[in-house]
Amino acid sequence: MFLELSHLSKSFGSHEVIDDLCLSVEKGEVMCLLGASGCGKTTTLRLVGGFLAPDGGRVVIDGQDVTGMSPEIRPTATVFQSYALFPHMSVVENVGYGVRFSGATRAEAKQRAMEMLEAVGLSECASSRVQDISGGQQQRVALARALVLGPKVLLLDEPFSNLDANLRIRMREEVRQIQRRFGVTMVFVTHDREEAMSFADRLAIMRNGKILQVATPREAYDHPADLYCARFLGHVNELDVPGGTRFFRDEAVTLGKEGGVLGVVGDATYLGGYWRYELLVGESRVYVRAPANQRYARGATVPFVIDQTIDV
Amino acid sequence: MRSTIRRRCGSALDFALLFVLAAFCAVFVVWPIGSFVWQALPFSGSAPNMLEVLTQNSGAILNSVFVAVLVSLLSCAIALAVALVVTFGRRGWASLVTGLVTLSLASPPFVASLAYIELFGRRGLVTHGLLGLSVSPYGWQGIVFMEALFFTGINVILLDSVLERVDKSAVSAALDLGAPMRRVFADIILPLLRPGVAVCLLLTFVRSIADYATPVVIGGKFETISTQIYVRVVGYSDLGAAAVLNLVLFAASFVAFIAYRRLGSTLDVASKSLGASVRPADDEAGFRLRGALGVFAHVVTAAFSSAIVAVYATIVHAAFTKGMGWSAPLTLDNLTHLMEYNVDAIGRSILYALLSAGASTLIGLLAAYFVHRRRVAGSFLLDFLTSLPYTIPGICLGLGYILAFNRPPLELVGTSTIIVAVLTAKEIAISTRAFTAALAQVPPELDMAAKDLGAPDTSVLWGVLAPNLRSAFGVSLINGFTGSMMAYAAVLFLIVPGHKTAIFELFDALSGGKYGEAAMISLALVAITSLVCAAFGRLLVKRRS
Repeated sequence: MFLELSHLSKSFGSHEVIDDLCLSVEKGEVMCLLGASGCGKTTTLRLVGGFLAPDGGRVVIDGQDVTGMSPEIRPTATVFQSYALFPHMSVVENVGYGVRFSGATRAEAKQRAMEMLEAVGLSECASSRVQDISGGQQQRVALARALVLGPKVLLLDEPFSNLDANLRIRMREEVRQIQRRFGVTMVFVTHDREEAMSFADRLAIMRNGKILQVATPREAYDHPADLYCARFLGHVNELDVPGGTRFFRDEAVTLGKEGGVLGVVGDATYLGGYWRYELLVGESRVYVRAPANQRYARGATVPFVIDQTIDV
Repeated sequence: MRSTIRRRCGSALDFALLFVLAAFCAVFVVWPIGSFVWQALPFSGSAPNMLEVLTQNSGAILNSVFVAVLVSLLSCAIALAVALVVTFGRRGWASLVTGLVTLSLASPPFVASLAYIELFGRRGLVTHGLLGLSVSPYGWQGIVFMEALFFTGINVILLDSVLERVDKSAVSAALDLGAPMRRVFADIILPLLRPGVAVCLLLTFVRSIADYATPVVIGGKFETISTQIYVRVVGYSDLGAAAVLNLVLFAASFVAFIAYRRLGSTLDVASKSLGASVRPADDEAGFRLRGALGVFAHVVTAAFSSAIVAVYATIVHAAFTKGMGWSAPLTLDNLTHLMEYNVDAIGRSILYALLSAGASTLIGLLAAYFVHRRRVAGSFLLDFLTSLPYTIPGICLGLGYILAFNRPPLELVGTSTIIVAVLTAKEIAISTRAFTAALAQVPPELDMAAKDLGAPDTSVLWGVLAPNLRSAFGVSLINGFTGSMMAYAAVLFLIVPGHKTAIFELFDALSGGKYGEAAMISLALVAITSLVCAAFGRLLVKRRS
């Protein structure tokens, strides 16, 4: 494996934040650490980047044990949530900053920074102050500043959280394209499941400092390791039927089909292209999706069939 | 290869910087303070009988406490009124008062006393010139009045910073819920002010008890702890007794400092509420100074402002007239005298002040960086040591310095180094605080990003952090320069006859009855300080954005 985290643990005081964590990432892969706030995902990223020393365990990159290496010599580069651009330097100075420490002359550093800015499509802002460019451009500067050092692993902390909704989707695509072009291995952290599913090759779902499941987005959605993972990736209905309790996603039903269960429509929300119905089945309450043309009034009794269940 | 060497040099430099900081604290803080504390303790060689010294000087101690209590109460009451006007008063009036407060903060230590003697002395402009009286101005009343007037400035700054944190929307909410203005004050503003007032009382108490300059000039026969320390050292060469008295001052300021720390943390909590400026715009509802409180605040502020104006008017008058009284003829004699005799001393003062401002800024930056940013091992101790010289009275510190440096291995008494060192030590605390506050505004991710990109620690400090701390450099240099320029008590025992600073020339003129010359030196000091601070102030101006 290209990046191997084995049996990492980390405590702050008596609080155990990372507990015997193992994870393998392949070369060129985009791995997402997904979890609620406080689950230890950012701490894990800091351990990989060398900003924190683990209490136990190892970090191996490309066959080299980097556990004891400080961030300035570790072959990783981080794009911070706040981008952490140096406010007193221009765009090109920011990008060239790290190159100087690898022994390059000032001219070489500038040359390489300009090439990198070209690659991320920012050559025209090279001499702008970082405060004067847009949020999306700032993010690309942060990315360029990290990539110019040719890191073996690129770490991104909540990379899109500072952008508004539309820009977020565009930047996701742009960063993905840049990643493919450079073939760089990426680990990124987010709490946003949509971001995780659209951006990552594989997800690692975390809770209380442990990884619950590592899988492709589709596997994780369809075959979650447990109920927590299932719920983290989307709403899960829970319904008692003869023969046991069934768990199923909102869209895994056919509404209006006889032979299954009967529900009374409690609430109906039109979400653009489909309906989301709240159905009361006995004491239970489930939410299901139906196409736009299936309109039921509140209080109507509707039959439905569960097409696919989640086994946990 | 080249980068490895560079990295090695970087970490060596990093270590060297930490060493500089630690060494300065050890040599110029721990050693001198340790020296006088040791001297005062009963088991040291030259042990004075502690109890005996204390009973002998009980009069002076009681005097000091009596004056300090009165000064604290008076000064805090004035400061509260002035702070209310500065924060909530009409804009033009508020900025005029702010200007006068700043002027009072940057005044040489004897200016108020000088004006007091000019106005209320035997030949005073008011007592003799207007009322035809001939009364002695010397005694405790003068001390209380002068100290209260000149300690008010710093209290106004402190209380104003608390008032600025009043949550504007909490005031709006209270008004919206139907509270009358006086209830808004009592329920919203007062609770927030309480810890601030407590801190002011404490700090003023310590400042007053430690003040040497005011009682020595206008105290007359009224003895205080500080004047007694001076008499013990200079008059009787009784360092043991002086050290015991010093320990009393040290203990008082130490207790105040601990209390300040505890109360200070509640002040920080208060600071978390939002709201840029609490002063409501003309067309906006908000807290306004009205009713009895408003009248009180405005009357007191007007009295305070006139007192400051009167002090400076008197100084200017005295500087350009011959003799005393309303009919004294105008003259430039004092200016000529200044140019002829005081230029050396003023030059020395400027040099010392520039050096110590620079040194304290550098050490303050290092302290803020290592202690509050990097949190290196021993941070708590370093933090304590850098704030110690500021908290203890100047006269204590000065005594510690002669005890520590009047013999080998570091025989510094009589050199300029010791002057710069003591002035530097005294200003580090403020400098550190300025840099700590500014560093808190720089996100920690910046350090991480720089390290991640391969920068060694020293490059992070100089290349990434320092350029973002311009305003802290400004604050630190201004404070360091002003403080050193006006320092008297701290260098009292350390200045040797051939190397007097301007403040000493001022004191000599004053105690020799040459009030005109003293006034001229005061004016020169104020002018120079303002000019230099204006130059440093350019650092405070935000760069084009």
